[in-house]
Amino acid sequence: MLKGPLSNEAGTVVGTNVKLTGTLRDNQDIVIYGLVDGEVISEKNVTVAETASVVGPIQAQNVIIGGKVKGAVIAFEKLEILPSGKLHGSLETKELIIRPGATFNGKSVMKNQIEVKEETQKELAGLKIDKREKVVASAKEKFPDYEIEE
Amino acid sequence: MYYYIFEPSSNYLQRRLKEQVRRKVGALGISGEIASPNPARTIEELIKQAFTKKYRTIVAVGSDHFINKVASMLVGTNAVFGAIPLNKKSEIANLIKVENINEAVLALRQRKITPFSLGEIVPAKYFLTKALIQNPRSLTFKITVDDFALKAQISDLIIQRNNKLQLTFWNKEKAPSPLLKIFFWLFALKPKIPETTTLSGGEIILEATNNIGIYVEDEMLSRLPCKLRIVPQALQLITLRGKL
Repeated sequence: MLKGPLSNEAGTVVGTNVKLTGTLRDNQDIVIYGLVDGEVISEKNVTVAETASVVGPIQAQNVIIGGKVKGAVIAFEKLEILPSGKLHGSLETKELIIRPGATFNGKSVMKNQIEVKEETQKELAGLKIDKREKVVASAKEKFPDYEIEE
Repeated sequence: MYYYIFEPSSNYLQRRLKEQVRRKVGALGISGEIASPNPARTIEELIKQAFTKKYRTIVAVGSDHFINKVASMLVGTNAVFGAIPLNKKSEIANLIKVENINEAVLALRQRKITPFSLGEIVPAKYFLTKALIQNPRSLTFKITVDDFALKAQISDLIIQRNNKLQLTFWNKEKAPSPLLKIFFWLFALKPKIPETTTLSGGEIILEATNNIGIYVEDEMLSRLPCKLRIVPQALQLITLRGKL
C-alpha cells in the first residue's frame, strides 16, 4: 500500500527540486519551494519560500516573498518581503511590508491608484466613445498626476 | 429496480458479508436481481443484460477494485450507480459518505443521486478513487498540466480526482530517514524543506525515463507516457444523505 505525505488541502505546492515552466494558476493558495519560470496567479495567497525562485509576474490577494522573485508583483491586499526575500521588479499593492534585510529593486505603486486605473478601465470598456471623454476627464480631476489609458 | 453485481467471493468472510447484504436489502425493500461475473459472463456482459432487462440502477458489491471496474463501465450511460464496499478502509466508502454496510444499504434506500467526475487515463480507462505510480528509485519525470510543464525527480506519484485532477508526488530518496524523523519528533522540530508537490489541473500528460505502469487499485491500466483528464459528471452515484 502506498504511503506518503498526501495532501488533503486545496491549493498548489511546488516542492524543492521541481522546475516548472508556464502559467501556474489556482483559485486557492500557492506555495513555492522550487523554481518557477512563468506567471503565478492565485485568487488567494502566494508564498515564495526561502528556497524558491520565480522568474515572472505574480498576482494574488496576498503575497509573501522569502526567496527570489524577478518580475512584477501585484498583491491586491498585502505584500510582504521577508529578510531573506529578494524582489527585482515592480510591485503594486495596498499594504507593503519590507523587513530588514530584504532586497527590493523596482517601482512601487500603492493601491489607491490601482483602484482608479481598474475602475476607469472597466467604465471605458462598457461605454460608447462619446461618453469616454467625460469619464477620463473626471478621473484626471481626481488624480491629476496619474496617466489614464484611453 | 436494482441490479446487484456481486464480486466473486474469495473467502468465507466475504461470503458471510454478502449474505448480510442480501438480507439487509431484502429487509429494506430494495432487493432486485443478483448476478456475479464468472469466466462465462464478464462484468460488461452483465451490465448489458441489466440494460436489456430495463434495469437503470446498477449496484456493485465488493472491494474498491471491483467497484471501480463496474463504475468505469457505466461511463457514458445514463445508469445510476450504487456501491456497497466490503473492504475495511475503503476509499469508495469515504466517497459515498458511509461507514459500514448498514449505511451503504440505507444510502441505496434513500437514493440521493450525486453527479461525480471520474478520472480518465486516455483512452477510456476510468478511475473513481486514485491512480498510482511507484518506483523503488526516483525517475526523471516530465509532467504537463494544463498551462504549464515541469521536470522533477519522482519516486511516488498519486493522481486523485475531484473537480479537477489533483497530482501529488515526492521523491522518497530525499525524504528524511526514520532516525532523523525521530530526532525531529523528539525536539518538536519540523523538517525544513517539504519535498511533496501538489498540483491540480484538468488535463495531465505524464512522461518518464522508464515506461513504468500506472495502477488503479493494484491493477495496471496503462504505461507511461500517458494522458489523464477529468471527465466531469461522468457518473450518477448514490450517496448517503447528510448526517446531523
